[in-house]
Amino acid sequence: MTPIRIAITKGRLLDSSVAMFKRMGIECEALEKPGRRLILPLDGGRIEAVLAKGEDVVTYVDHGVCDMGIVGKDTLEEHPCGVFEVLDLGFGKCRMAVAGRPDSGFFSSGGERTAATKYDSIARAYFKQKGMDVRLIHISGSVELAPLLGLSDVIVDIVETGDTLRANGLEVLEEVCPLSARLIINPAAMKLRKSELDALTAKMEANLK
Amino acid sequence: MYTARDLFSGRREIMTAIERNISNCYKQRGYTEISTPMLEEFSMFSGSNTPLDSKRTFKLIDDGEIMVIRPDSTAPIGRIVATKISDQPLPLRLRYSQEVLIAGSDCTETSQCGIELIGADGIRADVELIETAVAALDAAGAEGFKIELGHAGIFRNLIKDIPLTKEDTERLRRAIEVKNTAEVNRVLDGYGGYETAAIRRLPRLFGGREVFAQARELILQPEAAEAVKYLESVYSMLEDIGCGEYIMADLALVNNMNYYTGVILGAYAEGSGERVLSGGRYDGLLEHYGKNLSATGFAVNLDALCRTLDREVKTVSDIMVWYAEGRAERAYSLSDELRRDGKTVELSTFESLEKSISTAKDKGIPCLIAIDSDERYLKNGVDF
Repeated sequence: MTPIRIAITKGRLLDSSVAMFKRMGIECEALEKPGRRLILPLDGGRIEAVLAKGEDVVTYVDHGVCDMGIVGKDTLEEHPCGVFEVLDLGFGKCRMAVAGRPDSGFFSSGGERTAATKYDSIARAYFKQKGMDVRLIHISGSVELAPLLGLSDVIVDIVETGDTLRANGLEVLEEVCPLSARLIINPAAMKLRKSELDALTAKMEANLK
Repeated sequence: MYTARDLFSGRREIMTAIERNISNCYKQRGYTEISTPMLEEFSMFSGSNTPLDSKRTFKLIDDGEIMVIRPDSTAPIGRIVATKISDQPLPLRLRYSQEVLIAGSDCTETSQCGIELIGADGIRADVELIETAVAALDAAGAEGFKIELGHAGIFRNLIKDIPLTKEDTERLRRAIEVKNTAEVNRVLDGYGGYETAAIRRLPRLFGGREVFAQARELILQPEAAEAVKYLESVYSMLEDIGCGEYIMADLALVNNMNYYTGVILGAYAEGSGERVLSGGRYDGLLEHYGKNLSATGFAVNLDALCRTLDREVKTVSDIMVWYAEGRAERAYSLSDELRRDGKTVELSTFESLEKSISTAKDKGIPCLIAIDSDERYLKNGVDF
């Protein structure tokens, strides 16, 4: 039997993914101590896990080299593709927000406005929907720096606790959308391996917190 | 951004071989070949007469006219049928094999090999088309492929009586397309009082024959139920003619819902995450060219299909023939004789036998025949 291959986003979603697998009764020692291996056998080899950055998780599943993936909604929104998004896994909860100085007057001013973000597509769609002309500046690291340096009026970014914002005198001005981890499935895999993938999905759904 | 696609070594050979097998399948079912121009007017791909977003066409300006490199073959064939060959007895069976170019971040040429069945509707036409799709993928050597069947009338009619805003219609369509049940529910929760149970379950209505039993219980809207019933009859007839193991149903196929009007089909094969075939009934297309003709068709994506095939192809000749001066006549007649036996025979272009031997060795040609005063058969690895 070919193992089901699942791509898991490294970082903050990994711990919650491991916890979920444990609740499902899937042994995942390999995930906790990956060592140098890149493809990790779980559940006695019935599942193979791959750890990757969110964007790459989407790419692997979109191209079908992984059957399933666990990825943040933010990554899915930023990189729209043909994968199925079958389950809100409920962990990794945070929000996409517009943040800036409380007195920025960003939403009331009519002048030229600038936003710095890692999420160009999400930001562009959001401001377009609001009918606002906003110049976007792409930043790939700490976006919070941009308004502090005077590069932009606001940022569009993921906000978890808001601590970083507060520490830098920034606050959430508007929420764009809530975010959480999602289970994605490749359409071909969904069609060709329906019963196996259905069973695993149902088991995940039964073990959400 | 355009990425060039160069096909060489064995890849082009494999694709050509597959294309030949598939085309032969179409030909033997009465489909005659047609080809369309590389450039078409932009207007052809800017309305609902194409399943494509007009943004994804590659545009050029010719004397002030916007032209596009064909992103699809169906609309051009529709134009040709309506304007040039509509007086021929119906139905028309047309086949094509040509490149298309879809602009965008992953813009690259794709070879499509497909058919259009024009002027025929009803179960006989739909079943024949799907059987041809099964035969084509089988002839191409696709492994473990499945053809999924849907119907454009299901979703369209299920939402007909709900006053969805344009934005919510698209949000709902997209959520169903990606099987995001939670999002489907979120959109529909705003429309209490309307019958939405069937739409909420739609993303899960895919699989084998059992899907129809579930759908009968759930889908009560009369026209949508009629579409399901029709699809089931198509499914049953395909089972009767021996295609059962290759088909499945997905009642939530909602892509290109403004284009397709009836049965929709798509296929996946083991070894690829992308569709290797897609198509469906598009009864409205010919109207754009002033002819009211029903039509259905599909295209095999040869590039995607090739990626699923783990196939080796021989690009090395079986035999090299070298001849000494004055022995050309014998060399050519012997080569022809060997070719008649199905061997691939290449003549050495070198005057020197040594150079021919070393070339045959480099290329991995297993046998060299040297024709001088006597004829010697030299075996690679033994004699050279």
